Amino acid sequence: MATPPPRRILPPAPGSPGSKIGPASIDRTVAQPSNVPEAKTGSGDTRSKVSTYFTKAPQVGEKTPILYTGDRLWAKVKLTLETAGPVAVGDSTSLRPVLGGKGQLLVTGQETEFIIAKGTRLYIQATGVNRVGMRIEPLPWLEQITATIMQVAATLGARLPLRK
Amino acid sequence: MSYPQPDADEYVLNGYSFFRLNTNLSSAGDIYESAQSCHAFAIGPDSDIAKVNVAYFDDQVETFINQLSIDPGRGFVGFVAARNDSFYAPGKRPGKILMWSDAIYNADYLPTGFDPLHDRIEYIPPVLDVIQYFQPVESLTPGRSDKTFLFQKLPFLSANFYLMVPYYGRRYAMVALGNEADHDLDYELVGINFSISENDITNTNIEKTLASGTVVVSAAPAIINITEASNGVYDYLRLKISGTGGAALSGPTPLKIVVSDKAA
Repeated sequence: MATPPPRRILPPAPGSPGSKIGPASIDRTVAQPSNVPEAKTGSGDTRSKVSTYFTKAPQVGEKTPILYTGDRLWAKVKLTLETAGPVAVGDSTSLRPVLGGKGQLLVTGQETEFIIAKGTRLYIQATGVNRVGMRIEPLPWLEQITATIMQVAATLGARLPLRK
Repeated sequence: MSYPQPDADEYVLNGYSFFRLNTNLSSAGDIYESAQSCHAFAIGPDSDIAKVNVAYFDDQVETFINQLSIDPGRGFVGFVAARNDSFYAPGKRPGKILMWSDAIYNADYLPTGFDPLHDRIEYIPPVLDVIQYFQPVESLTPGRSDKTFLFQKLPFLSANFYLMVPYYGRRYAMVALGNEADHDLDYELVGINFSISENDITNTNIEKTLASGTVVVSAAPAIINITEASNGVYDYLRLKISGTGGAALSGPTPLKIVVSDKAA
C-alpha cells in the first residue's frame, strides 16, 4: 500500500481566527487600497501628548524613573530641558552617576528627539529638580508602512508551497 | 539670614529662568547653598556686598571644593553643576553650590566711646544679592543699582545717634542732612573698614573721619560728597548726629544718603 503524501500545513486565511493580520484579499488581480489614516481622531495611537516633567533628586533605593513607555508601535518623543540640568536619559535603568556617560545628557534649550518603538522604555535621571518639556507625537505613516509590509509578507508566505 | 533661606528649587518649579538669592546678612559667617546648576553667576542689582565667593564641586581638588569670586564688574559665564549626589571632603556634605560674602561684616560693631545708656545706634544690614541663570547667556553686564536711604526724622535721644550704612565697593556717596528741629545739630561722617581682631576688646577697625560740621536750625542742609578718588573705599559709613552742646532735639531731621558704583 502506497504511503499517502504529507498534508500541506497552511497558515490561517487572512481575517480568520488565528490570523495575525486583518481581513485582506489575496487576489492579485484586484488592487488593494492601502490603509487609510485613522478616521477616528483622538484615538490612542495617533494622539499627541504635551506635558512638563519635573525631575527630582534621587533617593536611596529608589528605582530609575521611567519617562516614557512605548505605548504604540512607533512614537516620536521630543524632550527639551528648560533648566540647567544635568539630566540624563537612556534606555537603561542604570543612568547614575548622571554625568558618568551612561545616558545622554539633555542640553538646555535644545530639543532632543527619540523615535521609540513599542515596548521600549525611556528612563530619566537627574541630580535635582529640573523642568523637562515633553512632547509625544505619533508616526502614523510608519505604522502603516509596517502594517503593509507585514500583510505582504503574510500573503507571500501563504502562496508559497511547502517544499518536500 | 532669612530662615529658611530662599530655595532655588522653587524658582524651577515656578518656571523662572533664574534663581535670585536676595537676603540680609545676619553674621559674617552666613553661607548659603543652592541645589540648582546654572549657566552663569552675577551680582544682583540690590546687593550691598560687592564681592561674593562661590564654591562648587570639582573632582580634581583634594577636598572637591573649587571656588570663584564675582563682583559687580565681573560675573561668571559657564555651566556649573550642583553635584547633589556627590560629597565634599572631609565633611561629606552634599556637593551643592555654596555662596557667601567675601567682605568682613561685623554685626556687633560699636563706636569707640559708645554709651549704651544714652547713645543709640541703628544698623542697616547689608544685602547679599546673587543671581544664578538657568539658561545659557552669551555675556553678562552685571552691576549694582544706586541705593538711596531716606529718613524723615532721625530717632535720636539727648545724646548721640549713630547710623551705619553699608558702602562695600561703592565709589561715590552723597549725604544730605537737614535740620527742621528746635536746636542746632552736630554731625560727623566716618568711613569704616572692618578687620578681624584677635580679641573682642581691641578695636582694630580702620576708621577715618570724612566730614564733620554743624547744621543750624532751618538753615541750608549739609551736603557731603564722598568719592573713591578723594576719600577712599570703605565697608560702612557711620553718621553720628547729636544736638549741639548736648541738647535734646525734637523735630524733623531729614536725611538722604545715596551710594553709587559710578565714580563722581
